[in-house]
Amino acid sequence: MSDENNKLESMDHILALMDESLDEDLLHPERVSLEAIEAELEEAGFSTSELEARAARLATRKSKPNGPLSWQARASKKLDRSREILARRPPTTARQVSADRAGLLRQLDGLRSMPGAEGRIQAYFRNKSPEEVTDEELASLIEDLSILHNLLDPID
Amino acid sequence: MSEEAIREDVIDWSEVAKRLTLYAWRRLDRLGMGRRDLAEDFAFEAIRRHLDEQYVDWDRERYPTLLEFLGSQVNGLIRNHLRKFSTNREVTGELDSYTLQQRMRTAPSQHRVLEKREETARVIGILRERVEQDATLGALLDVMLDGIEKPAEQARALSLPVSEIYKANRRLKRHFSAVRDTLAQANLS
Repeated sequence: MSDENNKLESMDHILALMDESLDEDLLHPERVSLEAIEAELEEAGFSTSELEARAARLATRKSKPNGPLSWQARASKKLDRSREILARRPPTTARQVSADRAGLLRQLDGLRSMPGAEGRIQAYFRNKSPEEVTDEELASLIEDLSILHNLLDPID
Repeated sequence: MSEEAIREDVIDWSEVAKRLTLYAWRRLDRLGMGRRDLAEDFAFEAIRRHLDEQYVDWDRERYPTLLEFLGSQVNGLIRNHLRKFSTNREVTGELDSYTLQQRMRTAPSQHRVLEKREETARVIGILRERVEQDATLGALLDVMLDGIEKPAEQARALSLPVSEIYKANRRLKRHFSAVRDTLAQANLS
């Protein structure tokens, strides 16, 4: 009985492999024609016209500009806009930063009111006091915050 | 729709949906869960997820065509459904009678299992008759039933070149397809 069971199991397995191989053919248009697919669907009780209508609805939904599937398009547009703003940024920003330390600290204070800037400034000085930061580092921080200000303002 | 057309994203979604629905249907049917609504839902869910792009990316190296990729997604959905189904069956004691009835309607019964065994023996029998005149195919079927599935191992077992084994496998598949077609026609009439 056990041998017979093994034999049946083995037969079953082989048939499953062959069936799977035939199923895979459905995914290759050069192996199984659309007409054959439609005929088998109809035999099984499917309505091919309903399948067509449902597929058309899905494709329409995909192409709607404000549909739920368009998040990536919106994100991409936003990214393009950011790049545009960056490109418009005058190349002399670094030179616009004050040369003396008192001027740098004034500029930094002026940027604190910008949304999100205060948190960034605090994070920057979490492990070091402003006295420990060189003029170049201060200038670089001010430049970064200015770019961020330009970016955030017109987009969000 | 050619494979090239699929690769270039000039896609006929209607054809994709039909191919995937039949693909899902055949697989579910063999599992004793042949429900048209499920097959259709799995096919469209695979497409929807692909279009959504929040889901898994199409691995073009593993699945060179979109249909192959979507087929793998349908398989995943079926596997998840089966996993959920078997988990739910373990807690049927907590289910109300309506839900239980619904579940039982889709459960493969003992009767179905026996029927399937008979059908398996019948298909193998018909297949054997068909390949009787082709000694290589008869021998190939025997080694397969002995659990030797890899072409290289089949070639060794039959002392044949691997290229011959590939050809024989293709011939066997054509015979098998014909057997399935004949049986399907017989079931219809």
